[in-house]
Amino acid sequence: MDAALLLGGVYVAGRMEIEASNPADLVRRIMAGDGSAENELVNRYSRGVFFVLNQNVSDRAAAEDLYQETFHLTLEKIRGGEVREPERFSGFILSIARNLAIEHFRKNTRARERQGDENESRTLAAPEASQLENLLKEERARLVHHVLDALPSERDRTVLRRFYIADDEKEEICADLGISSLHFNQILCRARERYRQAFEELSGKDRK
Amino acid sequence: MDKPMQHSEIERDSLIDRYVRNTLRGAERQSFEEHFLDCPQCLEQLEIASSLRQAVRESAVEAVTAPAVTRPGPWYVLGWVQAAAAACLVVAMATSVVFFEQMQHARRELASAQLELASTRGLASSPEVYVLGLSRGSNEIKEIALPRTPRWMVFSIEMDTTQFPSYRAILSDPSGKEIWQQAGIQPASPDAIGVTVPSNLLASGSYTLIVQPSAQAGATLSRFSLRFQ
Repeated sequence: MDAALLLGGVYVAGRMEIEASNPADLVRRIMAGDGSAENELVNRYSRGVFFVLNQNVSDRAAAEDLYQETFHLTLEKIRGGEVREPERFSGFILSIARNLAIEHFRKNTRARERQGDENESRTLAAPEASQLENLLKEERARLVHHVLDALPSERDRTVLRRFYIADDEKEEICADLGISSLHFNQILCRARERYRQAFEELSGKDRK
Repeated sequence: MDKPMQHSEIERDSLIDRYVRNTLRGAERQSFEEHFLDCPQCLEQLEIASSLRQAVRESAVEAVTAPAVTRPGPWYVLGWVQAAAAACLVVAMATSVVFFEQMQHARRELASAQLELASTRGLASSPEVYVLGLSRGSNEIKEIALPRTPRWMVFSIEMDTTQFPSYRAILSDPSGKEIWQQAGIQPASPDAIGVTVPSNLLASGSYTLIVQPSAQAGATLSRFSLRFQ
């Protein structure tokens, strides 16, 4: 089994050290049988691939499976000399991930259609939250209270809620609340920065 | 080769927020994904933005579904500082909760209206889902058995949904008469849209289902020949 796939299907957290190896170099080394290059490739792209899959697949367990498959297939294709433009490697691995997600979606839809299960809801409905999901949800709730409490005004909280809950457009929010685009961006930046800090405080990590 | 994306461009065009809100489409979305896949800085911002958005949305649900807030003891046993702080917090929370409750009320009304519509039409609440794949240049007719009891029929149409923000679907009978139209369809994923038709509108026979971009009537993106039995 590829050493890289022993990561367990969860993206590698923490800051990634982008070494001097460019994608073309990594591809060349993998084709030459360099196992360390395979690890380097997985370390480099795992976080991004997992994020993209999580955005497209509502089931976290399925996203993890697809993450594993993506790298398995990617490495297979590299060894088989199928990377035509190594300098556009991000696009190559993304297309593999997307195609796997599409295939996953189609399989699920067809399976439900065949089973004729009248109690199934639409294909992309999320399954019942797992214990992990519940824990993540609780942690997010703690963090967001920190963020909302730290915002200087109720107007700032309204910006966040209208943008993230009601999905109102930025221009509409700015016009209604009489704030500039720059001020809007600052509110969001402050909120995200506070959220990140709250996360670090809760997890006890120092990302510096 | 395409010019690599710059961080100034990402910030100027609010690509991070547009991505997590799923309003970034087409080539721009693709370029951004190719960029952030290999950019720890952007990836971190995306993870935070995505998590924050999800947390804010979850907190809204929590605010209106949680049991009554545990009240502090009677005011006269609190120090005046604590009482003033509690009062300010209550006012702030009340404003927020009013907003949330209005939104949740609107959502409940919408859900209730949908159920009412379904029951008015005599439709069961659970839909039947059918996948309509792209056939390569053929006039393949898809045979579909009408449900025995009236219910919603959801057609999951496989197509590239990254080109337009929303779509319109039109179901016509053999004479070309339009019997059902659904507008403003937002894609649920990059590769498919769902078109929902009440089965009690349909009788046995042949129909044509076409999909158009919402903003370009007449520009057919997909066409399916259906025969209901």
